[in-house]
Amino acid sequence: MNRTLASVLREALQAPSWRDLARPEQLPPSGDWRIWLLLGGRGSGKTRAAAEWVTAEVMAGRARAVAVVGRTAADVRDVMVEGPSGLLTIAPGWFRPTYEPSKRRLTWPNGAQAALFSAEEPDLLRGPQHDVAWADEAAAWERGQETWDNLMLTLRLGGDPRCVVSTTPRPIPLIKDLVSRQGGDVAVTKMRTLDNAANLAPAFLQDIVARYQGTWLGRQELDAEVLTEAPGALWTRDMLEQTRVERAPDLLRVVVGVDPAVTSGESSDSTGIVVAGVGTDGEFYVLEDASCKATPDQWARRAASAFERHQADRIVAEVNNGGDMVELVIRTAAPTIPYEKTHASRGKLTRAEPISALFEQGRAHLVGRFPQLEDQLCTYVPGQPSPDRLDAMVWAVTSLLGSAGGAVTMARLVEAAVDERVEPLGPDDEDEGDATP
Amino acid sequence: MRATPPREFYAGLDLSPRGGALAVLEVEGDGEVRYLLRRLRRFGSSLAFSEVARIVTVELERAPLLGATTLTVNATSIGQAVVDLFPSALTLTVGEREARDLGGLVRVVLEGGRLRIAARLPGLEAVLVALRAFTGARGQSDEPAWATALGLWGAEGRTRTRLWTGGRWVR
Repeated sequence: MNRTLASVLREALQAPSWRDLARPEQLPPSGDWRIWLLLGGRGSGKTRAAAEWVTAEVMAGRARAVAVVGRTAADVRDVMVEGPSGLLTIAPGWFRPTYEPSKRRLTWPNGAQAALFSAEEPDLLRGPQHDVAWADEAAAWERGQETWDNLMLTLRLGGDPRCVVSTTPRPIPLIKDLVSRQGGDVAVTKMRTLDNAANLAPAFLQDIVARYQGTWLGRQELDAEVLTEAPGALWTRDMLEQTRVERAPDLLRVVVGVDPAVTSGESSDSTGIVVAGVGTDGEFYVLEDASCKATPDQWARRAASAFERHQADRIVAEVNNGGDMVELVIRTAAPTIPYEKTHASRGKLTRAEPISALFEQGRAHLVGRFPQLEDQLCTYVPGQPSPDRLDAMVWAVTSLLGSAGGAVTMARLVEAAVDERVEPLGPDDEDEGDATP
Repeated sequence: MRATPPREFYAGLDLSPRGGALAVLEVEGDGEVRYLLRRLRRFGSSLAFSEVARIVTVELERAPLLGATTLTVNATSIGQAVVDLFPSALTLTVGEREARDLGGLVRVVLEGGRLRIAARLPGLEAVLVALRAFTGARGQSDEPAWATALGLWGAEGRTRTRLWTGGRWVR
């Protein structure tokens, strides 16, 4: 369709500007900052604020080469580019960029371009240079510091290269460092979920906000507070940092722990899926957090896929809520997988305490970073309902604890299985052929 | 209407050029069932597979196994002609993945206290030695462990996700 200059001008003049729509904290702060850190709760409008700032910089000609970095390639595409607050969606029609997914590139009508990066591939940030960057959910980047360092090194174009970081806060070193620089080269804005209530689905407000408001996790996820750990929590951030490793040794046994969600609706819990192993050094290693919010069929496949990927020995699942449904679902997805039931009624606290003690003794380790699992570990206080990822980890490591003895334990198990009360069946035939009786 | 479920057996047959073994497990309880290893037959390498098939058929046609037994045969490297000798059996071709799963399965069942072995079982020592070392990797004289694992594999998933109520199995 040919658009006349008049129609473009009319559209531009009639559309309400972002300045009219935005809450004050969604607008860029004044001052001589280099990094704008937008700490926001879930659904607080931080993505929109960041996308609007990037678009304004491009429109004003201050940004010609933009770096757009998200947690994963899918997040970049689905949230930062095509999402409801993404760069494609919020741009006015006359200034909508062209999206070339195969080139991972956006091109605005004035020729400015954005290169799209996943934080899973920090090496791709070596080489290019930019004058503006947008880092989304940086607190959840798996290789956070490495990606961040590389991104900062690309900000070398123009006289005033700047970066916006939109993220739900977590007390990781990267975020703590940025917050500590507030007033220097970093401007910090906080955005609460409830402040954006007018733009949120009623179901989200009722189910999620109501459930977590006032809790320790809620203060972080909804109110954007940078918290360390809850008083009385079984795990501390220091404990996790001191025991963290980048790589696991050779593993003797690997177990996939599953804490299934009972329902699979919009507001239902996630299903915790955590993979852990016991190493040849006798210590315990948490290898992956594959938790998800999904239907039973989807999470069963995800658990089976984690089982396959890690060449695991068994899946252990809590059955209190889902009963035998859990085993049925897992067996439908993967019929031959060894499956162990565990019952939460035996006491979650008594299960979780020995596992936290392993971390305290330096005998259990996270291999890499698992932001959401770590949040649950450091905010779970005994007596509260225990969260899904934590439970899945506890089931997995508890199962490994029971089998850490390896061959010796197997011998003992076999001896214990011999039972005088079980009668043999049938006549006492000789073995056939040349087998030794 | 039956007050108690009918007796139910699962058998595993492991065959290889080095010999073979048949293990018969009885299912006890419902829901979180237990398996009672109540019979073990071993077959030497000199015995033709067809003869093994004949013996196994006779075994499973005895009371109380007749009509109440599900047989699982290790179909790995024995050829389709041999598999065909057991037309109603479940078959499992054991690759690396399945071998590890069977090793894990035996361990899970033992750890749960759900496998009981008859103390006066003919061939008891052979099955104990084989099970102690059983990880799912092939070893010497391990046919009794494989046969037990195959029986358990046939049973798990068919027995654990159901309850006997109102005179019938309910899932």
